[in-house]
Amino acid sequence: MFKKVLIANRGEIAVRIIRACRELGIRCVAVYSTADVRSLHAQIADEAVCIGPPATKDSYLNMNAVIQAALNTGADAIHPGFGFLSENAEFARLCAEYGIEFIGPSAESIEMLGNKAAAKETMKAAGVPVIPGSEGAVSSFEEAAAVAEKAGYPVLVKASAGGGGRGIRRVDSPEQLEEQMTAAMQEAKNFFGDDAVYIEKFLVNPHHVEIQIMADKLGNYIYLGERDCSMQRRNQKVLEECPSPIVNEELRKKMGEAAVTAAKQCGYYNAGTIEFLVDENRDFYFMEMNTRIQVEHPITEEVTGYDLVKAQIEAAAGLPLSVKQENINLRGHAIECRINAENPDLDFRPSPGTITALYMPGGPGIRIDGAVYQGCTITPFYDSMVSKLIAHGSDRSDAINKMKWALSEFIVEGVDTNIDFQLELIRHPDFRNGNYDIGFLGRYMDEKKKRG
Amino acid sequence: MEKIYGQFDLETIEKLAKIVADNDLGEITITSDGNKKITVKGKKTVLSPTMPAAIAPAVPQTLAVTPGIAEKSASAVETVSGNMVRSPIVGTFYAAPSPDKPPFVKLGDKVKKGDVIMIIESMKLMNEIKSEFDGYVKEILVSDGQAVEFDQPIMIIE
Repeated sequence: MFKKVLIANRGEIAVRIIRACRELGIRCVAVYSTADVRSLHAQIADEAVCIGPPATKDSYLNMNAVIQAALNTGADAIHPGFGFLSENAEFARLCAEYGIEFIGPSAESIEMLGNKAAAKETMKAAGVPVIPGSEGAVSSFEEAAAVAEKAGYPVLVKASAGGGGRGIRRVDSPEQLEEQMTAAMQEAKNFFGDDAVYIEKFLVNPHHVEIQIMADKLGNYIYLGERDCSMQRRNQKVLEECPSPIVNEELRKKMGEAAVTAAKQCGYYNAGTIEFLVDENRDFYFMEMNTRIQVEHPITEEVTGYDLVKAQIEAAAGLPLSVKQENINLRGHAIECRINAENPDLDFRPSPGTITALYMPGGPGIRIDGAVYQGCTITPFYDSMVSKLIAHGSDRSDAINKMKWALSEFIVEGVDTNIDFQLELIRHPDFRNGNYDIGFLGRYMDEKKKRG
Repeated sequence: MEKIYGQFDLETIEKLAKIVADNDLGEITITSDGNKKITVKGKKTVLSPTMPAAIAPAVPQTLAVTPGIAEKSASAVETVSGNMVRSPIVGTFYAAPSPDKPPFVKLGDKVKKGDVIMIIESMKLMNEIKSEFDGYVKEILVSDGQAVEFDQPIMIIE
């Protein structure tokens, strides 16, 4: 086992990792920027090293400074957390070069899965379902029609060089194909100077459902149920729940086994998450694999009773997984609300400042992963998430009820937060009924705007 | 920068912080039972009113002078006379170009802006650090071969 772990991150995830180190009896080193001198992670670690000025590129993304801090303090492993250097293959290689264990997958896994096209091909080869469509650009209407027929309508015609929603057309029937494809090609040419387009199946009201996997370096793999992250705004997750209201035991097993197959195919080890879209027919399609611990990992921990961060450290140290698949059972239901310093009424504008008063709820089934304290300053340099509020109940309705009182009790003064907004979502009849997909929040915000 | 959380009681730490602050010391180190050691670095420590006091003195005294952040602490820290030379990178401080050579500067030496005054080794690279000030070396706050962090005070030139 490691003697000393350096945590190359900040905020609540750094604190979470420090706590895991404590439980494993490992000393820990925090790194921080000059803006984070007073942040919790820098204060509670056994040692702390200032690695640079506030700008992330000069501090938390500064590979040389992080490695040098590990060398100065004699750390034998680095936990990258999420964001920052966590999915940086070059950093994982640099760690190896200096004899420091990177707590995560191999540099090769990070590299391959970070390339969306390569990852999709690998998954397809492993028999994991991917969103049906053309292999690259289509060259004629006839070819497009054949692909669309096979994938099943509705389909999207998308510009190969596209982005930002430009050059995308939805086609509901074969009759519309030629007209819509011509329009997409014209738009693609105008915006990107390239009229190449491809065809992809359009998923109606899909859910974002991701499978947590864990693997050791000895070839043992487990999956730990799913998380439904459909409540998102502009691709940013707002709240997550485990299990998903649309996944039953049979689908869970199918998706879990597909996820393990996917991970095995890449010789993957450590924690990882395979993101799928699940459509209204309960068919699932691979989106991407995240090669790190995720923000929303606590809901999986609550429901499975399995500590993912400790497991990450143990797996990196070469130990075998402590549990087998048949020991993984989902117990009850957990929901996580991300508490951000932002103003939902001002288009979620970040709200940096000093927290002048703080009360964090506790009580049965409530967990808070945070790094804020009364008097601390939320700087404008980093993301606005200040805390994660997690409610674990005996079933979904129990978890919702717990989350309601916990949100109502949560008090933050001095900065704006989305606490009331989260309460609106939790109370929404469609959420209560589990009747929401990845488009829900966009539609909800539009309606809210119209109402004024 | 060894942290002392859980190893020394609050009272000891507060006493040390007071001694350092009252006498305007660079740092103070005490050792007990062989392996317990505590270093409190000086220039007047400000205890955060809202954090547990036991861990406050362990905060490195290299507070940010970024506008809007920690203004109060910055004004309390910058009480030394002379110009503070701080480490621009995480690394190892070397006073001399090589172990068998004399140091770049000694206490009392006259330095000119642009003179090399130290080396900070980082990622196997020797970085020559030049003085940004004209003056005399008033104080050298770290010892040869010591690990240093970003922004750590190294020398005072007056």
